[in-house]
Amino acid sequence: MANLGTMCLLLALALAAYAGIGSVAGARLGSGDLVMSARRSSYMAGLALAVAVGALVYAFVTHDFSIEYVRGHSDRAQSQAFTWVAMYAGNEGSLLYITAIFTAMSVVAIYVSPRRLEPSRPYVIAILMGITVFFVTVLLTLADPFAPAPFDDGRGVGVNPLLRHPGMFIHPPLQMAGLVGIAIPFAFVSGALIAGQTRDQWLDAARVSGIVVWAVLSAGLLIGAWWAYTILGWGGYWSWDPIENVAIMPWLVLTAFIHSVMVQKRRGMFRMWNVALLGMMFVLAQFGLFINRGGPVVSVHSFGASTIGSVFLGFMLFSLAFAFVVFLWRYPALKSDRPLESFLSREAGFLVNNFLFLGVTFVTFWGVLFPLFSEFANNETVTVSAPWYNQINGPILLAIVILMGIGPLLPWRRTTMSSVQRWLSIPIGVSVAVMALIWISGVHETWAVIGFGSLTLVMAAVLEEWYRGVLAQRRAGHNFASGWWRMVNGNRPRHGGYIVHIAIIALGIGVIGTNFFQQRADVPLAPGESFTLDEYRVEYVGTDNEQRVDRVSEWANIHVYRGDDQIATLAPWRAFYPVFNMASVRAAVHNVPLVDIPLLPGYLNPGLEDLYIVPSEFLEDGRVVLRISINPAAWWLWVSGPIFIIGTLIALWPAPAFERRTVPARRRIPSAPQPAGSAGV
Amino acid sequence: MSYAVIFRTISITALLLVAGLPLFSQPVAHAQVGDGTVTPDGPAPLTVTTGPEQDRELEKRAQGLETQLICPICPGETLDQSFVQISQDMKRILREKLLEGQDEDQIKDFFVDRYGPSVLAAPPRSGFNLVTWVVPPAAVALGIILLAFVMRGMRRGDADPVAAGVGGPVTEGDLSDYLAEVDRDLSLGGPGIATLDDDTGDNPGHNAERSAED
Repeated sequence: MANLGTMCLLLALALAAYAGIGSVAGARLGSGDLVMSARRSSYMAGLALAVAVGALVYAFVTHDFSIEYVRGHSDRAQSQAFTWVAMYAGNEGSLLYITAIFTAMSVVAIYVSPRRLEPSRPYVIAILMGITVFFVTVLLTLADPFAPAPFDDGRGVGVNPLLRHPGMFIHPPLQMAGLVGIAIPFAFVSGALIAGQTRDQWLDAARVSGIVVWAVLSAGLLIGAWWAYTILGWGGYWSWDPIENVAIMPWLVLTAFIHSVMVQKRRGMFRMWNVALLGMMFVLAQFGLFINRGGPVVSVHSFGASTIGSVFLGFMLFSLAFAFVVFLWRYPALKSDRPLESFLSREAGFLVNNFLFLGVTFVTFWGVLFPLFSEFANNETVTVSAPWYNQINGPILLAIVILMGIGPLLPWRRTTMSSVQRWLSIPIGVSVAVMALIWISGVHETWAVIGFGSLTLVMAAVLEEWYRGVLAQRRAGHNFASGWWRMVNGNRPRHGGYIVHIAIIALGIGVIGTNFFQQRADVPLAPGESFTLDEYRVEYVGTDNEQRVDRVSEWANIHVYRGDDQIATLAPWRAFYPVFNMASVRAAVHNVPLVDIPLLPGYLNPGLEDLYIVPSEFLEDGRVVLRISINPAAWWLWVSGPIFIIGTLIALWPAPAFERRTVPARRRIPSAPQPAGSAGV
Repeated sequence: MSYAVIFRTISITALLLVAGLPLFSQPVAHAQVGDGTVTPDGPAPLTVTTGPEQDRELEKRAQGLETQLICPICPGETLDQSFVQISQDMKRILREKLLEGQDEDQIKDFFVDRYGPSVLAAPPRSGFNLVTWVVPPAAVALGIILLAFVMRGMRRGDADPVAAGVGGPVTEGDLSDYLAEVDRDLSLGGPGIATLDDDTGDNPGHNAERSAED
């Protein structure tokens, strides 16, 4: 298997190099055949990498410990399911995964790229395959996943205990795919600029691939948060850890881009700016790769292989230079079609949105870099962690939420102050009323109240829009449901966006609830003892344990009472892995619903709060130390996921109504396929 | 009319759902913490739960401190996130010191003396470290000024109208005025076609209202 894998990597290197060089040569020489052969060669490179991945997975599943990477990241004791995904548990294998998934996504992007991008496609292929060549070279020289083991004792080391969680099947693949996928919209725009297609030919390709990558990345981040919530044992889900930061930065810039690209699509403005954003997010993704693979930071996510860090740093600097040169070269051709008509317009709103997102990005970047800066300039090691980020980024995030309530009510081009007032009066009124109500009810956490008020503003603005839209449909004779559906279909990017905003509201509720209203206690309990937190009485009944080859697992059996009623029986566990000298916990989470709805599964029932219990320590004297916390509104964090996916799908769905709008443009180039359609989401 | 009623009902329910949540969440200060099952000198760090109101206040302060101190041996985890022995010990020490009447700054100083400044989760706002705190607001302020200039420049018409429509396929924006004219000429009705134009379908409000405004 090792030989097959290495051969595939060599083959992929040759094919990708040929695809990159051949396509540019073909374009320069005007040889369509050469370009076509290069294009097909890129498909074959994707196939070769897929076989390489298959070889590594096969080696894991069959416990081929003669391969050092397999020996170091699996053993016979772990459950069989995890051997299928253990290939991305470490540095070398995850690099192979990144390479393969990136190439696969590139192949799909090349395959479905619209005909109108024909002149720039060779350069798009060259950029994408150039990245593949870089990755494969690193794999073959510095991080060979197929390197033989120095000895084979027939048993592996096993995989890091923190990775033995269902999240392992989804979070790493999505997260890594999203981060490397950012190169695809960047390749589309750079290729188009190099080929001289400097107008909006690249716009749909960049927008659709950007949104797909954004959705993958968002899902990866959210599932990562859920993973952290259930396994790290402190009831949190985001800690502004350096690796989380480098993953969120490209996401923030991408979020700015998918907003401002609409201005270019609708108004022919912000062209230059959008190109700059795409370059920025690409470089930030490379920065993330560098920090993750041996960068000088401490993190729960680090791979800790520092030799290849400098290679990624070099690649990042090269990316930066490349993006700059392309941008400066085509800069004069990227001017807007028309001036900004008014500060009171959606264009201006999007500009402010971009400014705020880049503000959060900058703050996060600064927070990641300051410890290095301090060590260098002041010779003092400092930590920049959650309290700092919350204080600095919190207000900017709040401003983004408020803008999210106001922006959608601003029309394109221009409007008058009185019209804005008329549109905003209801949402602002509702928001103020809600804040007053919350305050009166006894919640005096000022920032939380303002936060809830801002979320209400967003919700009210969306509902106001929809209400009026549906009223208009009803006048045309449609009922409420079909009227809403027709309205959404009439402009899917817009209303899909609103649904994503609703997902952000749910996320916001969860963030505010857990950050401001969490209660917790760390208590040692002997069997039979109980502890009361808020209205829950937690009784520790006893412990079960199980000894396995690789670990000792202990369950704390717990009964939870509210009043005299027993509402739950929970069994959180803690496992100790001697090989790693490391413990892993799994929290027991009991979701207490807002209202009891019979027959409705708990995960569908709007949650009020989570009772969250982790055994942090089993003491010699038979007692167990429990971390008990009440996490209000945590359910809302996870429900935002499905809402957000529905919204993204609607925004991306190839919409007949939307296509009709571009009829004249399509008539000019009769065979132009709509990239949204062919991408198939 | 009944649909409007249903719609309003749903809207209001959704709003209440969104807005009413905090009503059900009791703030920490009001919490009933503990029923007395505590041995203050056990081997593990203890939540201070016995005693009158001021002890609950003390526990709240202790938990606040836990989020501001980093476990010295774990990668970037604050004390409240970490359960290794050293952080369990630190949790107990900071509670003892709070009970002795020391304030947050004194306790932080104590840990800084022991483990160095990196034990603080956020750099202190003094000396060189002030830079951490000053740079982001300064950058945002600078950004606002820059943004204002950019917007003013864009408004003056730093655009390239000649290039519009000649360099390649036209944008929808380019077509909007033309499409609106076509629609008027053909006097087409119905949603989807009538909303071709930028200024109607994609803006708040329905067509009649908007055109009246313009």
